[in-house]
Amino acid sequence: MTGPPLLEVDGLRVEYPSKAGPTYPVDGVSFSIDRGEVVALVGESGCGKSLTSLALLRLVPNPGRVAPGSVVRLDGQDVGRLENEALRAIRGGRIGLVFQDPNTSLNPVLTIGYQVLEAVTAHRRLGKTEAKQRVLALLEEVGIPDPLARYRSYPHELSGGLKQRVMIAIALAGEPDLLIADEPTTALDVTIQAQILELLERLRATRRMAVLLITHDLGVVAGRAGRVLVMYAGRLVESGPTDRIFSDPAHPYTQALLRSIPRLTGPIDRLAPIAGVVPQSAAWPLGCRFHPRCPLAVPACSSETPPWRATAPGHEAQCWLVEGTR
Amino acid sequence: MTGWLARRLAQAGVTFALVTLFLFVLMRLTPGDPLQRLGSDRPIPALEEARLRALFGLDQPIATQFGRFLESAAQGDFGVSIEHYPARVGTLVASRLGPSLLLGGAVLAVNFTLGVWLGVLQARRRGSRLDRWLGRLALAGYAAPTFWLAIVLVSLFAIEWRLLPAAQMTDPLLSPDAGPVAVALDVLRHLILPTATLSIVTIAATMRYQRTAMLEVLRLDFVRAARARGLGEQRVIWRHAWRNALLPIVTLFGLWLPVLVSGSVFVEQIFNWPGLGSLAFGAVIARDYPVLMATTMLVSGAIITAGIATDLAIHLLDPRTKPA
Repeated sequence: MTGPPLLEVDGLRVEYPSKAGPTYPVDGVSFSIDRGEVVALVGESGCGKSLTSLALLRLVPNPGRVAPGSVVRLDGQDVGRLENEALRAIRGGRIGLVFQDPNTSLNPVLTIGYQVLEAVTAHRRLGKTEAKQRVLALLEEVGIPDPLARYRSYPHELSGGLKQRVMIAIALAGEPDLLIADEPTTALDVTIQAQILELLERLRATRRMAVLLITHDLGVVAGRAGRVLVMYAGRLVESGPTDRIFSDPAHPYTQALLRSIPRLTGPIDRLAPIAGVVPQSAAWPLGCRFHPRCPLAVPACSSETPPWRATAPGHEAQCWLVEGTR
Repeated sequence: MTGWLARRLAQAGVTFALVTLFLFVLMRLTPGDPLQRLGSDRPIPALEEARLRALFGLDQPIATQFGRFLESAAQGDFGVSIEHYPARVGTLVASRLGPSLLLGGAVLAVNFTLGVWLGVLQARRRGSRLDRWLGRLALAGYAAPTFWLAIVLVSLFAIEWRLLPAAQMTDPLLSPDAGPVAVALDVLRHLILPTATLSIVTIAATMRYQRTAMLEVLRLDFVRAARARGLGEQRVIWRHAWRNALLPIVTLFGLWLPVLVSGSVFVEQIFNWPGLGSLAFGAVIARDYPVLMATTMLVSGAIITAGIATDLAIHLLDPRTKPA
């Protein structure tokens, strides 16, 4: 595909004020997503991946903000400069967002039908019956049995899986070009997780929308995403085609992540957890942020941020050890 | 739901009966006597006192008095006032009910519209200068003694600047053939200072409850989710957040509701407002048993009813609390 990508993110930083000066839990993230593409954003809890997705819609929780100089372009349009109506047209309109926990993301005192309806009418003028038809069609599309009965249900009357389907219906209400799914299965039972992921895949295929799948679970990524972005401590450390990330990970962090996934085939071995924890945004390590936990660290790692180096076309990592050119 | 309501009403009936009995007995056990005051002006012959005692049934044992009271009260007759003899208690209370409802209604309206709005505003601007100053002002009002505040307002608005009347509910000099609009405007002018006094000293609670409840809701996921689906800020704040921060306010409102019939003794005294509060106050001083019974039963009935109404409203507002 030629032309500008659907979404272009350049140097995205999220700033939080603190007594000791501002901190940057998201600190210079750049990537792009093409139309219809599925991209996975992977990283441990606390690495800033959820905040990245919220920052795209300027929904960073108070008192944080998207730092000046960050660029988010949707079809070439600078989202950072939009206000009020124009911004709302993006939120839930061009970009739909599915949250991690459907149990807390639906308003407990409003009916399911009402909440989908307001998402529908927020983005287009429709008559009363037309709008309701649209809601029922959406509920049907996300696989909710007996939509008419569910229309009048309250969130607490639905299971977690059904609630997440409702959240997906809400995200689809504005016919988005990009669906951001922020850990969409983390809060669900394992048996439900696969169903939700299949639903997302089916919707992507029929609606031809792009999907940004945010997860800490590399197992979810395999076979679903075309491209993987690996995030660590507020920055991307590696990006590349999914099969290459799995077969030939370049960054030591990605390699460590892969070793920590349990496998059903092959010899039963001990899992290899990554020693230590993700550092706090108030004290990002100097140089490569992974170096305090990196088994392969060399002196340069602790003093200077490594450059991006490509190991293959479209496969890059930010590591001193990667042999390659840029 | 209907089963629940029937149970609540039955419980309320029992409570009300017990309260009535308790009030009746307590009143007669309290030192003092309706006829005592008569003797302070002039000596009263024993024969006349005995006649009066018999007239009001005060010569009977308490049980008999209570029986008689219940019998006539059940027929809607609360007897004759001793202090305002021969006015009937029903007529007295009815004539004071209107002014009390008016003042109480005005206070509730100001308190809850303004208090809710300011509390929400504070929560939205948490930690700002506006938030801090609104909190301080409300607290200052809460700390002000009612009678002092009333006097300050009267001396400023009525005496110093001559903008508003100092007391009464209507202007005694108003032409008797003034139209209904002129009368309504006159009553409204008289309503402002007592309403302001009561609102200033009570609005702090509403604001604080609303601010706290709203802060708790604003950080919940579904508020962010509402923004993420592209809804306007007003809709996010009021329909999504406030709708969930409403329950504490409904409870508080229920606690305030009896003020409609109880009136406020201080404010009614200072502003000479012809409400139930001043009637009850006078009845306490005079030990006017029949009037005291009627006013206290009215207030306790209002408190019990408001409690049921509050629970009912909460069940209707929150689908998760369906009563069994």
